[in-house]
Amino acid sequence: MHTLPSRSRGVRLALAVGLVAVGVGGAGAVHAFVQSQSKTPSANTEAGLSDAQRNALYEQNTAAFETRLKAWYAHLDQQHLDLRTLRRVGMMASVEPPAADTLAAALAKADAAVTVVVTAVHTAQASAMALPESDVTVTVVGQAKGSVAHSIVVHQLGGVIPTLDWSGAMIEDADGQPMLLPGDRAVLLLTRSADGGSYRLESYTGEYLVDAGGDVAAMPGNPFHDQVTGLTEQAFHAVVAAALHN
Amino acid sequence: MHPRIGWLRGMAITGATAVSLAAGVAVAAAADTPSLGNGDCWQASTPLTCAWNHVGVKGYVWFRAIDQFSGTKPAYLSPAQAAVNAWNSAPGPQFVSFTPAQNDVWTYMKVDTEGQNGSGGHTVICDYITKSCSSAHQPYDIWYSTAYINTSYGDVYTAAQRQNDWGHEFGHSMGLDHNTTDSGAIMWPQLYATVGGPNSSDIGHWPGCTSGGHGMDCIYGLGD
Repeated sequence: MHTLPSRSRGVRLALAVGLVAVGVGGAGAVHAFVQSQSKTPSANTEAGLSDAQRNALYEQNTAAFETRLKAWYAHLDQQHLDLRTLRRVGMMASVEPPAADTLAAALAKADAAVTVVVTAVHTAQASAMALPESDVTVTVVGQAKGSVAHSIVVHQLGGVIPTLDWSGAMIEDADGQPMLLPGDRAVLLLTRSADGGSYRLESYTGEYLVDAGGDVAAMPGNPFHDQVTGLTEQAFHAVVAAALHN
Repeated sequence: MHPRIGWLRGMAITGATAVSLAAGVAVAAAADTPSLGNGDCWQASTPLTCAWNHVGVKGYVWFRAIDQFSGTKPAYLSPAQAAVNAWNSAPGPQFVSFTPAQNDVWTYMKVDTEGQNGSGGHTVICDYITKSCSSAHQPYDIWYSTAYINTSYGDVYTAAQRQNDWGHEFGHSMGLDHNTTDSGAIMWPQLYATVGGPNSSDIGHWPGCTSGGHGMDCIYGLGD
């Protein structure tokens, strides 16, 4: 853990003054600064507005965005969208810590451990201010723990969202559980929702993608990432089986 | 706050702002590097600042916390105040307060109930240029933002955990990304942490803006 140095804003100010003295003496530095100013100073168009007026302006914008977002999802053909071509961005959300520190403990916490192939992804956003969430439909091709149907839906944080300028779509990924995409083969450690109606991935320890070469990759942040990443799928299954039987 | 203290602080802010614009002369080349962390607005399409601070150049930014939760969740207020104070008193370009400041950028603080969906809190930023809003970490001209705590988790948090979650989401609202390498950072992405405020990683002092760091100093262009 790194702690903040104890310097005050006053000290920082003194440093800044020193930098000015250095800066004005260097024509090259001045040139670099001028070049970097791609943004011109903007007038504050909200100067003079009361708090109530600003609040109304923001609420009006949020409502307009909400309407447009709903229309965007309504017209988005998610079934035919090539998700693998989309840019991926992180989600500004805090998430549950890893479910366990070891594979054996993660398996013990899981209601099911299955090998799957993803067949479809469908994203929905409850409101403009809510997180996107997705229903990931998977075909179960192997079961190491639990008893699940041949085809199940895994509910995942994240999903397909519009770009800010509405010119396209991108994928928003939650930390520790990147979106599964159609065609992905993976080993999943799943927990059943409280109502039993759907499954969720264990945080950080629930997703193991199998690449085209047959190697397994745990997700970043998985506490035992290095112990399992790079194993062949067959070797990973053996490790899972051993952990379950110990 | 005592009026005299407020006046002094105001003077300090004004002076620091004036200097910071010129200070960019010296630090611009060093800070303007494409190697600053993953996805922070500084290195992407908004090269000067990621907040719409009406100035358009590197410098100090004022964020104003708007309480829209304490009416229903009074127990969340004290941790929120502590989180705001921690950000405000830390080094860096940010001034954060519940009280108004000239040219401040609003961060609504709210609670929601999304159920146990795996997320204890999230932030939505609305972009001034496009007028769009998103919870994805990407370049913004921050117009206003909203920081949420999910009550499904927040109600069982300790006060320290609530402070951590508010502080974390406030970091997002100012443009910060997750820090996945320093568990002592407020931007560490996992729930139930008890870090009360920003550390040197969050501010950008460690490991430094030119060494892969991406704290507040880095994304607002103050550099190392």
